Amino acid sequence: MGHLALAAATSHVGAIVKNPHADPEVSDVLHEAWRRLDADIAAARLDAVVLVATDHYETFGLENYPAFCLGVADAHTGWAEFGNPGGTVRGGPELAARLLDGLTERGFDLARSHTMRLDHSFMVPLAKLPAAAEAGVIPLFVNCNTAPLPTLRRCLDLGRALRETVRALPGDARVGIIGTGGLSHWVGLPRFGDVNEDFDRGLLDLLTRGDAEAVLAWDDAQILDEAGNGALEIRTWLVAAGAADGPARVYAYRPMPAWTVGIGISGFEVAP
Amino acid sequence: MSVVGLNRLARDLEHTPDLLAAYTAAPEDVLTDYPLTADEGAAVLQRDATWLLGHGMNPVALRNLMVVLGVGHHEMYASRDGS
Repeated sequence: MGHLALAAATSHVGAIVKNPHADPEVSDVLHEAWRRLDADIAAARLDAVVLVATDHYETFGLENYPAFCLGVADAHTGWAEFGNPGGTVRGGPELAARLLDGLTERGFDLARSHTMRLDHSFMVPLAKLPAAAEAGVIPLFVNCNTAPLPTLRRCLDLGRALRETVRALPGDARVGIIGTGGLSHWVGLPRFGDVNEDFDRGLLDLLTRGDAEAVLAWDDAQILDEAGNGALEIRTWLVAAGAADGPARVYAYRPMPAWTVGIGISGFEVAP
Repeated sequence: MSVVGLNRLARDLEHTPDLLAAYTAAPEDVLTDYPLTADEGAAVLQRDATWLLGHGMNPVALRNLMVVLGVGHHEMYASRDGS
């Protein structure tokens, strides 16, 4: 039987690595939080990480735009778009194939890609969490910016299906799930640079109470208005929360205007 | 709005070798390969993010287009008269 050995979530904006010391009094706290999360990932002795992120029209265009897509390649290469981190990370094709089968059996017939490249939503977290890259990465794309988006409930349920699938794996594989995105920020919009700390803390409060279900009462228009289009990426956090089925533990949260985003870094207790 | 054409233009300018140089040299020639209306083409040539957003271009694709054309993310909606 497989083990869901770790669940976590983090913001992913490129400024984290392109301008790491923009506001040292704040950014130092956040970098230390990523170091602590990375240590916990290393201690979890993972065989692979399912990295749940999105894409900003680097990999997927409108000729074929999936709601969810699992990367099943031997290795995945980053775009290094606009000065973001590049390089190649090892994949997990055998485990990815099993996840694809298991999720399909559970009602999530995902798209799959044998050539999926990765934008900063994957590569920035991997730069901050090298233990995750070292474990091997199975990327899971979630459409977070091209309406209609998969519903918040669908994302939470996908996480639950991932947990069941991982636990049904043969052998004793140890798998981690890390969501990336958010929190409040506006991309390509006049409010670029704004942060809504109240929204961010409200989300983290619900997740810390183990009440991801309460987030399902929100709708995208509300999220867009209050916290920007970048906050629609909280879908990836819901996948991680659904997989864990336990409360979040916040390593750090800071509104970070210098990076134009509210930065959240959390782990989740994984229910037995 | 020609959403597909504008998204494809943004991706191509970013990822197709030499296309950005060709656009810089003769932008109207490059735009003829994309199914844009005259107003859309004019907005691209003028790097008018406000018009493109207002007519329905996805803001993430718009950000990519503007940045690849040399307009900083924080400058997209600054008045073109400098105010």
